[in-house]
Amino acid sequence: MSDLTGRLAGKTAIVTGAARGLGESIARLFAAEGAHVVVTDIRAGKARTVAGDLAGRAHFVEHDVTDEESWHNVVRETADTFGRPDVLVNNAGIGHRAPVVELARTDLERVLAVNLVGPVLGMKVVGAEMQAAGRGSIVNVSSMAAMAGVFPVIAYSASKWGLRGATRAAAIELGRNGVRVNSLYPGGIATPMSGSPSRPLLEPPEPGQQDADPELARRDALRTYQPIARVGRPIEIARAALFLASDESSYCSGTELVVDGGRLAGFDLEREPTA
Amino acid sequence: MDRLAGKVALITGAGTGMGRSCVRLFAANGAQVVGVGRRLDRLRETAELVMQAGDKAEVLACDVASEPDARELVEDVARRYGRLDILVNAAAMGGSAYGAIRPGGVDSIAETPSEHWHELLHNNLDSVFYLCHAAVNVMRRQGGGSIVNIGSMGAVRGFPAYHAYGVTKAGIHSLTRSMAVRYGRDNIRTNCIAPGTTDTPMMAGSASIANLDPGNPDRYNFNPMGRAGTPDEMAYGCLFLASDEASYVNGAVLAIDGGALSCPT
Repeated sequence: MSDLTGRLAGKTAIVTGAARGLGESIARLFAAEGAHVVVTDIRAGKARTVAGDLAGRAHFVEHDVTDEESWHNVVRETADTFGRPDVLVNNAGIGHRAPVVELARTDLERVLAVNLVGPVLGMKVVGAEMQAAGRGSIVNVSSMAAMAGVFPVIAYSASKWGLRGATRAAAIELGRNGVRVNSLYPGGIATPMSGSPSRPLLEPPEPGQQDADPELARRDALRTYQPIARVGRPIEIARAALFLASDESSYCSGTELVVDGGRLAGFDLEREPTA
Repeated sequence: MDRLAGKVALITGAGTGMGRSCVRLFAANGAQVVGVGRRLDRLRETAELVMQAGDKAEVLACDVASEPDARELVEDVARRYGRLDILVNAAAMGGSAYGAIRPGGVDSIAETPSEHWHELLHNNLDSVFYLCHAAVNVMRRQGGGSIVNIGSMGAVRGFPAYHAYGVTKAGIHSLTRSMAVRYGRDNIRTNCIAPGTTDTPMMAGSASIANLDPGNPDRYNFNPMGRAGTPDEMAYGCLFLASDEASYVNGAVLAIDGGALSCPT
């Protein structure tokens, strides 16, 4: 598994929200697989460190995904540094918990702006570049919360369901011009958004073994109700993103890839649920 | 290219189409592959293609729609190779190839003779039951495994024809989810791909392929990418799901359809 195969050799990838969590894992894996990576985030300090670690293979751009001009700046810097973008991973997102009757309108608008308006602006601005070039691959990171109802994340669910629909519509539009648009549905992944420290390339434990990291072992123990009874590691999402970003998925467009340990597949009534 | 190094993979339908592509790709990625099918001449062609690429694979003639033969096959592979890590259920009948030998067999139910309905269910679905039944027992004993089934776009959407075929593939989608829920705890992952229109011998000369031919002025283009998929494109999806790269993917239906399922119709 550690042998890398250069599956993105010669490609330039823009990864948003790459300062930590899933975005950091995706950026590091893509660079290791031969891509040049434009690491973008609104958190400049940490993202600069990620780009610095990938010396020569990565370039940091400070980026507010809700700002269209900021997207144009990312495209300009990408062109100046590595050339035309081949891959866009719309990963940047924020979590938010509140029941609908307590939801502040400002929170709703902020979550929709980052999680939905941001990726759609990305598909608009970067998608136009890709369309002009006649090829490209866009990966939108949605969520398990866009495949089911999840309480109490009403604003987050709405934003991720919106991104799911936008992905399909963009797949139809951009597919005619050689640009593939697909989406990922992570469920139960140990990331800073869900309260875990960032562990970008950490492998999951062997089946039946406990993780050496006590924090992850504790989180795994709370997942006994799902078919693969542990939380997912960011690297497991990064590998799915790699498949969708690379030419190996050349006939996938509008594809919705769920990576959730089997939780959405059905109800395991023989297992005791945990709190 | 050793994404399946050390793995033993059993692939059905290995003489043609997606099964053949899986044999070639899995062997190129370091798996010990056993490819099975009904026709030895086709299997030998597959083995020859693998050899020409500098890889190796074993091919065996076996009718996996025969319960004793399917069961013996799984036990034989596990016995001789010491384990069975991956099962790819690619064997299936359908498409223009089936219509050519069974009149009405790929039409709507009003035209489908009941013997063809039963034949399709037996070959496409019973075979998957026999093989999964035997493979799950082997995989549980050894501590895990990965099963990849070939479903279909026709299991997700309705079509004016291919009715019996669609039912067999919907059965595979359902079984995939149920097995994922039950056997995840045994470290057995079960997933399927849902191919769209794919340029395999099974679909040669079909209206679906003609509809995606850019040279056809009368085509009704329901596909955003505007072309049929290739067997190799399906095999890459199977490789991802079969490998440890998909270690948190379980019960997934991976559409490889050029975007067809994103469209209203």
